[in-house]
Amino acid sequence: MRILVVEDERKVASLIESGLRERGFTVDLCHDGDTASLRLATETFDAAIMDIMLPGRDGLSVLRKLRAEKNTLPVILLTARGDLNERVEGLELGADDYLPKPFSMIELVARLKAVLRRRTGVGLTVQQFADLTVNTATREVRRGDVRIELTAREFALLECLLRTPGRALTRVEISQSVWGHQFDAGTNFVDVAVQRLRRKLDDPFARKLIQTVRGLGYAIQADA
Amino acid sequence: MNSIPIRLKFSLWAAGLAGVMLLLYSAGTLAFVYGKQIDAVDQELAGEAKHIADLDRQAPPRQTADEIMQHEPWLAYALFDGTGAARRRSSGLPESVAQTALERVRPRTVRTATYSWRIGAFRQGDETIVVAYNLTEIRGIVANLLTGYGLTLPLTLAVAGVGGWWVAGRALRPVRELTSAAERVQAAHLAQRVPVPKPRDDIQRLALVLNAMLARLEGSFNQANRFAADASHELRTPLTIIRGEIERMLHTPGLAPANENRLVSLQEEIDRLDHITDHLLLLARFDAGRADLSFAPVDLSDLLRGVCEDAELLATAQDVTLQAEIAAGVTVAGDAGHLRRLLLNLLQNATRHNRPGGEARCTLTVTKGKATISVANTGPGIPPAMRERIFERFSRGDASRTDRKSHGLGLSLCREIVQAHGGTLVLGPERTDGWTEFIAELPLA
Repeated sequence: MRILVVEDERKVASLIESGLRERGFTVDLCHDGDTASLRLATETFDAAIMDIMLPGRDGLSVLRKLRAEKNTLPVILLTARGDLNERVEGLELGADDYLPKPFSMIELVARLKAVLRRRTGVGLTVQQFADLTVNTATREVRRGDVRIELTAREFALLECLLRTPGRALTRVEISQSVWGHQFDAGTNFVDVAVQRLRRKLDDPFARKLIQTVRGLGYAIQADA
Repeated sequence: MNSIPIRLKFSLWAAGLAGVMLLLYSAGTLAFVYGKQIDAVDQELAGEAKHIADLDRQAPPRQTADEIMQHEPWLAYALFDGTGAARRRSSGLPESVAQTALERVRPRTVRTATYSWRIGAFRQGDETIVVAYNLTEIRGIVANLLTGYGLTLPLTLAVAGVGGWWVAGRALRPVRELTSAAERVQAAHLAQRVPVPKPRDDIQRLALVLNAMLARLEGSFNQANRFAADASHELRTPLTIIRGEIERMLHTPGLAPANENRLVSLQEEIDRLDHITDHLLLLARFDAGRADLSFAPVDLSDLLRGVCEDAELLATAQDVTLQAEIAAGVTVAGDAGHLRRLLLNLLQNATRHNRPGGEARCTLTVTKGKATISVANTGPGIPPAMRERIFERFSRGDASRTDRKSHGLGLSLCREIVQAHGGTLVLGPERTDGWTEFIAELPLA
């Protein structure tokens, strides 16, 4: 998968680049809107991650030109949070997703995968871990043959933990991914949410899947 | 006194001053005229004394003084011989009154039962003649003058008052024009200036000063505007980098647990910083008048139900019970994102400033044609001294600057959001049962 990352801040760009490379993507970088427009017109990519605020042609304008040329390349826009109008405009112009800065790489990768899956049909809508089956399309959760009913937030929490099976996510990362940027009251509530998910997902079963990683956070991991 | 308009004050002052002037003038002229008349009478008295003495001497002994003076009825006299006995005396002049004149060198005014007299005593050989001049006529002149002045006074007051009103109105017209021009220069049209009048007078100076002030205001307004736009980008780029690097380090295999803990702690601080940045930038946008709210009908009941669901997690984490009573189908015209932030902030506060085992209650009702959201909680409450300042930036109800979970911007942002929606956010009245309540009222859609 070849991804074009358009970001004028070099450090942010290299952060995205290394994050994507670690996860097996091929990454091309460019730092201004005009170059991005040119490369998008002449080269083939599987998706683009683009900052809105760019020198030269801005992200929204690059996107507008891309869609005017009937190019349906999946595009994720990055921008400073709170610019609701930019976001609405971006989505109206045909962006596939929108991520406010500062974002988490885990989140960006998850969004990128979701966008690619939607666009190309490639990728699994059903995720499995041990005896757990999660269908992200139908939102059906099963352990073995037992169907488990989850609320929307509980499902989002499970989906979030399943992004990095076997690796712990911190409370901040979980809070950002599931609840967005809404709580500034600390992260204790993540513990409450995880306890509730456990009650449905783990308590009735002998094999526990959600593990507490001391000092770090939580992970989906089959206990021994 | 403050409520009296300048124009009326001016008019009253003009009338008052004119009245005082007229009174002084009247008193002055009256005193002058009367004095002159009396001086003339005094001179006449001396002349008349000799004349009357002659008449008296030539008159037959039987003739009375009144008969002698019949051609000059305004005069009366009494003639005293060397022994001090009155030889002949006008009936209108009582002897006792005439006697008093003997003791004086200069003429004086005396009032009897019937008339006022100017009397003087003049020696004629052995005898002394006391001549009295009836002052009725002179008093009449003075009385007439007084009546004249009395009639003029109200007229003068009226003319001065109306004139003052008119002059003040004329003088104040440029000020009134300046006032309404300044009123028109609203926050959105700060580029406008008030018109500067041509004449180089006080009003022109006022207009120039006002314009200079507007220019400064516009400058700082534009600066705040630019800050809100630029700071957003400038602050978030480093936050993104720091956050990304921390996340990368955290997920590097083989990290020592101590370092892991440090990184988690750093991540939490960055999250906190991110929230403060968010709030500050939003407040800056509100201050700059460019909060960019997109208004649409919002089902407040739905929104609040969702927020309560999330807030319930916060409450449970703080060992607080959250109850919600939400009337169905309450719709307001508003910006859903901002309204969500408002509700979340209020509920977060209610759980944060609570006590373990405490309660929080959230209700949505429609009262007096307004959507009323009440968020109440148990807990330490807000000290009376803090009640006024609770909506100020970086102020905290419990005054505990050590409470790291609260940055003290939430409530001021809440108030900005509510006001941008044409509503009000107030702290409920002090209660003795240990509850603190915030009440937001929003106009219905």
